[in-house]
Amino acid sequence: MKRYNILTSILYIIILIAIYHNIVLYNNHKDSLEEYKQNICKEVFPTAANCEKKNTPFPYYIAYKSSKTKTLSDIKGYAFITTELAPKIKGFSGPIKIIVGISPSGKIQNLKILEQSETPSYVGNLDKFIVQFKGKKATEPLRLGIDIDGITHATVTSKAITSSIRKGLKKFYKTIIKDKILKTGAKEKNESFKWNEIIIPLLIFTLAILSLSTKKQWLRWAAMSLSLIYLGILKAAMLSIVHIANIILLRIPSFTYSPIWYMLIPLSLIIILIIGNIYCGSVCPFGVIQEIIYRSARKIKIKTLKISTHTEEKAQYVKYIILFIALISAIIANTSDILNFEVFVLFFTSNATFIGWILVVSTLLISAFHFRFWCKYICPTGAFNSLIARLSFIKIRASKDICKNCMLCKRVCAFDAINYNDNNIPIIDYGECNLCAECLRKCQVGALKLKISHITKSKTIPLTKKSHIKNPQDRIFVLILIIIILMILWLWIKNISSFILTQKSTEDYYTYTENPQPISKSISNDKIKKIKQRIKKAGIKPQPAKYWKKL
Amino acid sequence: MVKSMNRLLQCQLCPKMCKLAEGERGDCRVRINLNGELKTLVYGDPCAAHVDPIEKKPLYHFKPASMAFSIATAGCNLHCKYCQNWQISQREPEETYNYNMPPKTVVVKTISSRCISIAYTYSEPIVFYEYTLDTSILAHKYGIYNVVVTAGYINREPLIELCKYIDAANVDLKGITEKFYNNMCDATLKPVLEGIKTMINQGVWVELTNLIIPTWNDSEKDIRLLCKWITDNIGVDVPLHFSRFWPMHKLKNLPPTPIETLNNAVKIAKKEGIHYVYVGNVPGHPANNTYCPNDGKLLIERRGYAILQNNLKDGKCKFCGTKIPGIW
Repeated sequence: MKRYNILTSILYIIILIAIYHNIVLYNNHKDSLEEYKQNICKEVFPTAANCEKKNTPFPYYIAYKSSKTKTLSDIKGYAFITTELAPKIKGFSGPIKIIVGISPSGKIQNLKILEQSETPSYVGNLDKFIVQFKGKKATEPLRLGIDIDGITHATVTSKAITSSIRKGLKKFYKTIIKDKILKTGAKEKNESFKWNEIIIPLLIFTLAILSLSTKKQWLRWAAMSLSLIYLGILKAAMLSIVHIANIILLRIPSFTYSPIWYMLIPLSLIIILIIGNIYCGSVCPFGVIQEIIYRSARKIKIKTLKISTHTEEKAQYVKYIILFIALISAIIANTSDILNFEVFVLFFTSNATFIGWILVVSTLLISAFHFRFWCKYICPTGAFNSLIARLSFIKIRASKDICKNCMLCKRVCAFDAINYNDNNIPIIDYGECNLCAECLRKCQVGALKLKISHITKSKTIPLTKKSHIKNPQDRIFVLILIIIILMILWLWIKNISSFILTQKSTEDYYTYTENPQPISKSISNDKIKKIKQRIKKAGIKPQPAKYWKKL
Repeated sequence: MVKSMNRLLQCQLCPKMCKLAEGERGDCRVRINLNGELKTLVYGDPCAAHVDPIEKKPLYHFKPASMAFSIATAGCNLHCKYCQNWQISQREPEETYNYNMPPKTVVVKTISSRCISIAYTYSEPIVFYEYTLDTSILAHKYGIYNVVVTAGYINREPLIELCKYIDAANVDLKGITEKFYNNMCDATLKPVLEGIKTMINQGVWVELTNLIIPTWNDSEKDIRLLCKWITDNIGVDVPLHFSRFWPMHKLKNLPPTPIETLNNAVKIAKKEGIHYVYVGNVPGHPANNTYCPNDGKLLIERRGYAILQNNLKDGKCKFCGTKIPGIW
């Protein structure tokens, strides 16, 4: 188990660095944060000369035109921060802090997202989404779906933003601008506690654990199909590297607002710590899809892609490397937004770029030839889970006395998680085991059992002796693996670059309240050539223009 | 990517302030970032060149019955849904048939076709700014007037430079609400209003046109607001043309403006105190004529683009001697 010791310690170091980084960051920026808070209304009123914070009856800000006088006619506008006025409203995985600037007449003049930690595939649309609020009045009902178009597959987020802006605006209007609110349509429904978000995930986990203890295959499939329908298709909510990064970056939502987050992320991590990686094996909706594809491909007798154990053991490291790089890059950027490359997030939120869709389709295709290709070699979430699962209290152990060394369990293990020690007794590699319980079920003599174990007692997992038996399909496998990794890298770099670009350009973009300003997009060199040819063909001679500047 | 990012530039001609990457065009389709420099694609390449009566612009207080040599290029920085010239204004210069007419040729043609002015019109002179500017400088040297027909969506500095050489302008004040400009024209109202004020301050003779579109800007409130803005900001002597809308381009679902709406608009404008209110696109309408604001007598009778009688003398009413503003 030596290699896992190293991998786990790397994970610990990363987490520790993240927490330290967060604390240091907070301490360093305490002063500048105060100053920033003082002048926060300049975010929405960039030309305001002076900014004042009022705390009664609730915190809000006044932006003044001039820095000296503070009469009523000098007021440029008011501003409030949604989390301060309506503190209970939060998004799927964390609070969304939006500053809303209001003109003295009660219109929304400008808004800006100050802080948020949503799953990034939604985030791309968030900017477009909040722009819809510009120019709306407090007297308008602001109904989601009627007055405001929601973000597809991000209902929780759109609801959270809309209701927080609506509530804040009305509260503000009632007391500060002191005008009557037209009672139109939208009632402030108190968000009732969503019991189904607690019960169904609990049911899924119960079914999965039951299937493990009773060794019943159909219970496992029940859990899997329920999870595919509820978690996958209906909620598009699953454990992802983004959430793990959010936890590490200490961004945690409130329980009452997003119970499903608690049911899914901390609970599954706790369950993994107790009995092992049952999430990946029996709950993850994308795993279910891959498994369905694999099983149906077997039914119509498609040949599998077989690879030698040697290559496989090397390839299994890939997911850990991806996990570490992902977490480190999230810590450096201090955001989880850049980690939007996971196939299942792209797939279930059906929100992906062209390359993203190619990645989704190719992963699903390969899963017909190789059992759970994504889970076994790429998935960083799975890597994180298995590093926790290694520490679990309950483990599958073979008893020396009963085992007949028939090696059947190794053959039936679809995850290739079983190795043998020198006495030919099977040892489960918990870094790879996804608790499908196939070995428990198939063992003829009942040598494999779930037992409480201690980490200290864990035995070294022997690596397969370097057999050097080369399988001709190894090369195809490696090629596919490299192609998939390249695609992920592409998505990753795209995310990072767009993150950097938006970091740079948000200022210009949002402060430009008066005039619509198209954002430039870079054009490839080929296209530039074509444009030049087209101009030349039309007989046009470009002449120097006036009034421009380099940026 | 990094290379092209370095060449990012910003066009500062109109309030859209497009940020352009290498090879990218502005919203107007004619200003492009080539090799890190902003270039215009329409300099000396008009796609339309006609001889028009000045009344067609419409300019009713500027040299009545004279002819204007009218030029236009492709492109426009607005994208009005009801554009009457969308075949050229909503096209790239590669898509239109262009004449080769450097400023010199334009001036020569103006003189040879006995026009006394050059009108920069049809699409939007602001987007062929450099061409307009150079031509008008040259035209002034030969004693030719310059006339622009524009939406007025331009930044202050380029406008002030242009105003030095422009004698008259017809500014299309399309609506009086930000909502109208946002929804119909892909632009904003405020720069237009500022532009009109600037032009008048710079000594340009300005007439305003307001195209009345049923259901969009034909309400009494809108028209009153528009007239109020005129009387409050630029004075009652600025002529105002209410034009009849005709289903065009993307707005074919609406009927042409009823004559009553136009009559009503004229009434409101008169009530607000505007002296010279006209109706456009309706030949034979009594509000095509100019009446003296003092004694109400008929001064200039127009039918279509033709002048039937002209009772002005040195820019004054022949009967009572009241001075009528304009360039006569």
